[in-house]
Amino acid sequence: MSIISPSEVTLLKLRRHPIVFLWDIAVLLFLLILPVVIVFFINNTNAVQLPDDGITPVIIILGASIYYLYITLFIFYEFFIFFLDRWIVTNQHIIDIEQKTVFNRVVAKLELERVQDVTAETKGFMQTLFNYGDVYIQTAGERERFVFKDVPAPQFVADIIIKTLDTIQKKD
Amino acid sequence: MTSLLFSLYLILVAVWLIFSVIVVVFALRHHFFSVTNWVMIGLYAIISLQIFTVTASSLKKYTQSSTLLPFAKERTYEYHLTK
Repeated sequence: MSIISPSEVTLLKLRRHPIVFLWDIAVLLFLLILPVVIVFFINNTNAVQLPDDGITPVIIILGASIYYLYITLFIFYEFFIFFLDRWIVTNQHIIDIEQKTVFNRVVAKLELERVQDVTAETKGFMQTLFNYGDVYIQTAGERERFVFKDVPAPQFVADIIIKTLDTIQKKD
Repeated sequence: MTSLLFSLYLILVAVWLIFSVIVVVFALRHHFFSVTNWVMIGLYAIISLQIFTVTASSLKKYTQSSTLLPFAKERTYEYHLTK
């Protein structure tokens, strides 16, 4: 069954800004380059002398292979978590799909009519430079706040939600 | 010792394979018709195959030569032809 009913019109489909994903995997990217730097260092200096016992190269090759397989797995895992973590704004609802881990997915749906206040926040150098930030949606329900974390153009997103809310209230 | 290392390697590859299948299945479960998803899965498969290919060729090179770090160090060969 679809989260969005056929009568609804999708206004926004949001994900976190790609720069946030790159920031998340920065450590993994560094670990990806690290062995290359080490091999370059070993090749160009005589600081480390590897034993000529025959087994060392096999250990290095198999170790490097496993290392790269797992680093690649973690990078792609992070990507899919990023890709599946999203927010959808329709003309009737706000849907928050939070993919925390592979086996931990939370889908929350909020009626636009219950929205009381929308706040867009951009703070810090990176958020200002790449125009992304958080959008806080205050509601009257049990879950007091919906947060769109690190979405691109937060002011634009807030404007769309407020305009849609105005349209709903005028209809009523 | 080498066979023990290979066994350990195969166990770690098996664990990696199980996790990879889980990640790919869960990615496709929610967005089966997403082009981005399929592109990323394809990229993941290509990179993984490339890692296995490089590993195999490096091991093959090593078995043909006793030089240390056969995959890292460029070697030059000199051939002296005798009359």
